[in-house]
Amino acid sequence: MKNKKDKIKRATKVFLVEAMVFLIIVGAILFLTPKIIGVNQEDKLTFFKFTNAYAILIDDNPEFSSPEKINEKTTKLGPGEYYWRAVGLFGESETGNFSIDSEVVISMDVDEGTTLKNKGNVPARVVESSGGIITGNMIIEINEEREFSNQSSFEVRQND
Amino acid sequence: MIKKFFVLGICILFLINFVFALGITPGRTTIDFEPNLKQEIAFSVINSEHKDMAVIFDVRGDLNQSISLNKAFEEFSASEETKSFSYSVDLPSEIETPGLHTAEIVAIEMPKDLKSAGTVIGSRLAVISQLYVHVPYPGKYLELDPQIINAQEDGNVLFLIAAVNRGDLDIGNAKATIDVYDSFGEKVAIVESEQREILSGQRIELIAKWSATKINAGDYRVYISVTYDGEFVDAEKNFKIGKNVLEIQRIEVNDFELGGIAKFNALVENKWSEKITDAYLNLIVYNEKDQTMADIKSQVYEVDSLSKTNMIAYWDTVGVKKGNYDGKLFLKHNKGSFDRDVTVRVSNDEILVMGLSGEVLIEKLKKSNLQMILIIAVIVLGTLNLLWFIVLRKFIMKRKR
Repeated sequence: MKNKKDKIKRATKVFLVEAMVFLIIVGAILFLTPKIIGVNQEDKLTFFKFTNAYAILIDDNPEFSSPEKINEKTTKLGPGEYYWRAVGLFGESETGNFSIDSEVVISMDVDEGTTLKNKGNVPARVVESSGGIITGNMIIEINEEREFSNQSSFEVRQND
Repeated sequence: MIKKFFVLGICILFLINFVFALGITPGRTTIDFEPNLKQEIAFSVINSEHKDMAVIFDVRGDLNQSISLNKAFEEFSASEETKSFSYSVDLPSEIETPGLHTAEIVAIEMPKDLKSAGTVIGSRLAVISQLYVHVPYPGKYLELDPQIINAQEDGNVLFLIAAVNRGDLDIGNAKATIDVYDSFGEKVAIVESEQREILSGQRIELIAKWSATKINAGDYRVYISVTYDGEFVDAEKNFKIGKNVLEIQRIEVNDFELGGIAKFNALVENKWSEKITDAYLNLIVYNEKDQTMADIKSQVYEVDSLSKTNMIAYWDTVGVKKGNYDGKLFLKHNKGSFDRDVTVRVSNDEILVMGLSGEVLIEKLKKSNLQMILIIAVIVLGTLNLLWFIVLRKFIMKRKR
C-alpha cells in the first residue's frame, strides 16, 4: 500500500515537472515572439526598435505583397507610407506603420552665376524666372547641382 | 582715395559668395475629396543654412479659394532650424471636374529686415508645399503606377503594378496582362497577374512573376494592360535583366616566378544580349598598411554578345614578398562596372586571386535553415511533452482505479 502511494507521489512529481517544462517552453515561445516597439527618424535615417527579431520586413502596402527584408536596425528610406514587421526565430510580429514626409530643400549659391543644389529627399522641379517671365524649367535630382548663368528667381516644388 | 575705396568695394562685392537655403516639408499632401471637408494641415519651413531671414507665404492653384493660411509672414533667427505652420482646407460641397485638383503654399525667402529694406533685388528662392485633392471619377477609373519592376537574383522577374481606383465605384475584377519585348522588339513572354478586387479609392498591387532563368541578360520593355470590369488601362516600362553584364569566370597566372612579370589571364563572359565595349580589368593590391602596392590594368576590350574573352593584365612583382594581400577587383565597361574584394595569394611560383564567387546566398540559406531547425525542434519538444503529459495522466488514473 505504502509502495503504491510512493509510486503515485513519484508519478505526480514527474507529472508536475513535465507540466512545468511544457509551460516554460510555451511561455518562452510567447515571450520570444518578435515585438515591434517603435520607429524614430533622425538625419534622414529611420531607426527601428524591436525585440526578439533579427530582421525587419518593410513594404509600402499593408498586404506585404513585395516586402524588403532588412537585417539592420537602421535604414534610409524615401518619403512615403510604410508598413513593417519584425522577423525572429519564433515568427513575425504584428504590423506597424509610419510615414516619411517629403522634404523640398534647396540651397542657392550666388557667386558669379547661381548654383542650385537639391538637399531634399525628393527630386525637385525648378522653375526659373527673370522679370516675371519663365526662362527655365528643369528637374534636379537628389544631391544634384545645377549651374545658372543669370541671377534669377527660382521656385522649387516636389517633382511628380 | 575715394576712387580706390570704390573699386575695392566693387571687388569685395564680386568676391562675396551669397548662400541661401530654404526647405519645406511635406513637399506634398494628398487627400481624397469629400464634400465640405474641413481640415487643418501642418507644414514646416526649414532654415537649413541657419541664417537670419524672413519668409512670406502665398497661396496658388485652382483650390486657392479653399485654403486659408494662418500666417502670411514669419521671421527666422539663425538658431531656428525649422518652424511649424498650418493652413486650413475648407473644400466646397462639389467640384465639377473629376481628377486632380491642387493648391500650392509658397514660402518665399526674404531678408530679415524686409519691412525696412523695401524692394528686394537679385536672386530669390521660393519653395512650395503642394496640396493634391483627388476628386473621384464617376464610375470605375483605374490609374497605374508600374514603377517597381524588380529583376531578382534567382532569375525571376517580379512585376508589381500599383493600381489605384480613382472612380467612385468599386472594381470587381482587375487583372494585368504583361507583354515582354526584348531590345529587338520581339515578344518574349506574356505574363498575367492574379485577379483582384479594388475598392473605390483603394491602392493595391497586381503581382505577376516571370521565370526568366533562361532569358539572356539585357534591356527589355513591357507593355502592361489592365482590364477591369469591361474597361482597360495600359502603361509601358523599360527594365533590365541580369545584375552583372560581364562575369569573371576565372583568373589565372601561368608560368610565374616571384620577382618577374606576372601575366593575369581573366576569362570574362558577356551575359548581355548586346556587345559590350570599353571593358577593362583593374586589380588594386594593398600592402599590410592598406597602401596601394599595385594598380594593374588590362587594355580595353570589346566583348561580343553572349561570348567569352580573355582579358590580359601584367604585374611587375619586383620587390613583392610572399604572402596574402587584400585587393579590389574592378571590371569596368560601357554598361556599368562590377567590383569585388579579393585576396591575392603570392608564393614563389604561383599567384592566386581568391574571393571571386559570392557568398551572400549561402549565408542567407544557413540562417533560414537554422530558423527552420529551431522551429521544428520547439514543435517536436512541445509535442513530446504533451504526449508524455497525457500518457502519464492515464497511467496515474489507472493506478488510482
